[in-house]
Formats: sequence, structure tokens, C-alpha cells
Amino acid sequence: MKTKIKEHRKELKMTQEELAEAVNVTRQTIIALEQGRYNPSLILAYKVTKTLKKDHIEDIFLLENEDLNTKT
Amino acid sequence: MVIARPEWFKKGKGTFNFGMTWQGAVYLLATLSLIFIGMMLITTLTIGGLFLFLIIDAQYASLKTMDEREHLHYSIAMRNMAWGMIVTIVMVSLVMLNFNDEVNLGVLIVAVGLVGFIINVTTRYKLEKSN
Repeated sequence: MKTKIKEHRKELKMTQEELAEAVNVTRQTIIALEQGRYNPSLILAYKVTKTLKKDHIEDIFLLENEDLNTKT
Repeated sequence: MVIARPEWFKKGKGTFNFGMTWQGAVYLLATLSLIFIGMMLITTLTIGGLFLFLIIDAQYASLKTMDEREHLHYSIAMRNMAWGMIVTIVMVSLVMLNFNDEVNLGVLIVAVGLVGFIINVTTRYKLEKSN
């Protein structure tokens, strides 16, 4: 899953550590999210979206075709 | 649980940095030292029970510091470790019975512990790299 966390985080001049603290996860998880290596839970996705001052999850997390074929 | 606090065992940056506070270190040291006290006392059973309680308590506290991704890694690592240990118990026991007609409990425990540790660390390392 692609994300726009990094660019929106930088717009808000927020560090990975600050974002991690705001959504109550580790910095490693933020790194994994930014690199698209980890698909977050719906709650975490909402928290990140709200923290980055966006209204919709789709503004931050972009579903790709290959994600649709992934077993969940 | 009632004694250990999650913040004592909060994980730091990096895979092997557990970033334990002095309270956490004292807690673990006191817990581990119970093994040696237990050897000297007649009430080994009581000490053993307390030791187990404190270990589980610390485990529970450290679980609370994990986020959802770390929980996932922990669960997968534990599952792999459990299967690895079960297979090791069966294999090592069979080999020992075949060659010695009896199972050496000490060797079995060490082998199972070692295999479990290796599987746990390897799984966590791989998951950290990929997920």
C-alpha cells in the first residue's frame, strides 16, 4: 500500500518520532508505514489521517491493484 | 498485573535495544535471582511459583508497550518458536531413545531452549526487515 505520510508529515513540520507519539506507536512502525511495508489497522489509519489533519483515509493511504489481490 | 509497569520495559530504537529502565533491570534481576534463592530454600515450590508469576507479570507489562505491528511480530515469532520447540522435543527424544534408551532431560531442555531462541530471533529479524 502506498502512503503519503511522509509528504504530509513534512508539510506539518512533524518528525517521525512526533507522529509516532501522537498515534501511540513506535517510530519503526511509522518508518514501515512510510515505506509501504506495513498495512495498518483501520484504527491506526484513522489516527494517522486525523493527526496529519486530513479528512479522508484515502488522502493518506492509497490502495493499489496488487493490494486488492492480497489475502487478508 | 500488579507490579511491573509497561514504561519500565519500553523498547528503544533498533532490534536488540530493549531500552530497559533501572526499575526494569532491578525487577528482572530480582526475578532471576529467585532461581538461586529457590535452590537454597526448602520452599522451592513457593519460590518457583513466585518466579513464574513475576516472569509472566513482566511479559504482560512488556506486551502492553507494544504497538499493533510489534504485537503481530511477537505473535508470529511465538507461534514459530512453539512449533520449533515441539518438533525439537520429539526429534531429540527420538534420537536419544534410539542411541541411549533414555532421555537426558538436561540436554533436552538446553536443545529446546536454544532452538526456540534461534527461531524467535530469526523470525523477528526477518519480520522487521520485511514488514
